[in-house]
Amino acid sequence: MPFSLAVAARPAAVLAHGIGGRSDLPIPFGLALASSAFVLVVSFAALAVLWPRPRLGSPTAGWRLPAPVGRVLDAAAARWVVRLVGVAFFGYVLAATLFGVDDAQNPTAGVVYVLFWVGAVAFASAVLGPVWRWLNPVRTLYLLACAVLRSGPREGLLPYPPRLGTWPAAAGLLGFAWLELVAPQRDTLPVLRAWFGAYFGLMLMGAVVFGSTWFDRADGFQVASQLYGRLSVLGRRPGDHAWVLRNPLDGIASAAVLPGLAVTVCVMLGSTVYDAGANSTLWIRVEQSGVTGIVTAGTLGLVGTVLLVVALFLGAVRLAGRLGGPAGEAEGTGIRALPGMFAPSIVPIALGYVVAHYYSLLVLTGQSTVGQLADPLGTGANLLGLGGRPLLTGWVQPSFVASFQVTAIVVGHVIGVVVAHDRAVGLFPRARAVAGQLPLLALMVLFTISGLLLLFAA
Amino acid sequence: MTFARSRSAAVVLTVAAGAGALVLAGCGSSSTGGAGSGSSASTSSAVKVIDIRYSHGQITPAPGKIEVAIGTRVQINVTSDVPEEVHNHYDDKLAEVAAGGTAVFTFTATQPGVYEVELHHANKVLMQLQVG
Repeated sequence: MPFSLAVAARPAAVLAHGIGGRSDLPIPFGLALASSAFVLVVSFAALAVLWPRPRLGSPTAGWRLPAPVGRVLDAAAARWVVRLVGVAFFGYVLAATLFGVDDAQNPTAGVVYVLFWVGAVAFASAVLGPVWRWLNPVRTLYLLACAVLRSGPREGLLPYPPRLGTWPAAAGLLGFAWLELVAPQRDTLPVLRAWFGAYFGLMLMGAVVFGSTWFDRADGFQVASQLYGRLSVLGRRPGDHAWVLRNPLDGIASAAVLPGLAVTVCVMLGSTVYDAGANSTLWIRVEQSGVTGIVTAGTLGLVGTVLLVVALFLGAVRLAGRLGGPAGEAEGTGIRALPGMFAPSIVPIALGYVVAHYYSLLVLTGQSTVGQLADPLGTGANLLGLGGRPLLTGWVQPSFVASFQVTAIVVGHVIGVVVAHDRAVGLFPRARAVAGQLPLLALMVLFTISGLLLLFAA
Repeated sequence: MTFARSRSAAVVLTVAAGAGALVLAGCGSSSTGGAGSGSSASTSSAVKVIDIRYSHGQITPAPGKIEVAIGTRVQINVTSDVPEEVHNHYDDKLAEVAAGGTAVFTFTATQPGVYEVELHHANKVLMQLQVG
């Protein structure tokens, strides 16, 4: 005989499933359709109207900031203030992670998955530049240790192998995506402690062996932060390393091309695509059908989506190389270098997906996490009076969110198309440059329209 | 010469893309707003009762989206044949269910969004409540 139980009053884990357990309303079908048509028209119009020779990423691009501003930004004191803020904040969170109560009010999960991953690595980096490079407490501790031991931070025991490129970063980002989207108990303290330990250990050991280059290339968060940071209007230009206000297209076009970059950006895009699709009724039914365990299904879904994005990208670039002709022989780059050369153009598309998919999460769960930070140890404290405030929902009104999501995806697409065009006209002979752009353009249209359809359907 | 013209073409294209997206978005959302407010007026007085059964590892009805208008009074009854912890993400409430028991959630749906109701031990989504 069934009997009813009163609903328990204790609050639950906010991050119990995927991220948040809340997603945005589907965008209206008319909006998805109209913006898809718009994307198609703009993409092919771009081929006709854009410049015939490469223009982006020039060493002298951007408006140079006044010298005093540059001096402040470069000052060792300013650097250390920012780094120590990162260490202090991390120490504060670590207290909650190690000594706090393992319940839904513990801020650790919200800090890791929302404030850090969505807030710092993606949103703040796109606005300000590579903030995780500046804030990473492991990097700061390593630099402090080097200062104490009077050894140069760039010098490790071994030189960083050039062929390793950003491959370790790609692996790290895929691992973190698995933790965020698939791992069981991912919002509990034992799992988060293990992850903190693994990240700290790997980063510190790698830095000791390979020097600080390890952070620049092997730390997935710093690599992602640097790539999104290329889209910031604030940055250094390649020529004289002066601080400039720049066109974000110049910023992303001058991203360093390293081995593994193509797969790294495909992981960034593919993991967000998976998360967007994983909220759909269809995927929930497939995942829970019992054919495999839920974790196995999620793992296959995530890895399969990333591999699909990698395969589509590599296939499109290979076809581009064939249609575009003897690629870049003048610049000493063969067809094998093409994926890396075109990889930066995927970054704005990945950022568009991230902004569209996580904006309301950042606003809502970001606020509740700040509230939880007021009571890190679960003792009922309310530091700075940040706790217990009602969530402000003015910034997540559905009509605004829908407009913002579509705008993010479409603007990311247009920037990607323009950057890819600029690369293509630099690599391919002029007569075949248009043909050489078609495969990647078609792929970008596919990614973007899929993104819009996921906003409509998921 | 080519440089200046080409660059302005790109600027125009980018600006047009942004503006176009915003205009499109504006059109789309205003029409939904109208539809949403219309339907909420007609259903706001009723209570939407949703019954979900979890038995032998199967969810009945199969997990899917259930749409309610803003302002709807919602009652979700979750029956399980095994001890479970049910999590309603709409108001972030947890309910323990003994084997054969039923968890009942009642609330008024006012915050737009799509919210999961899930089983913690089985790690399964029971349904998604779409408010708005």
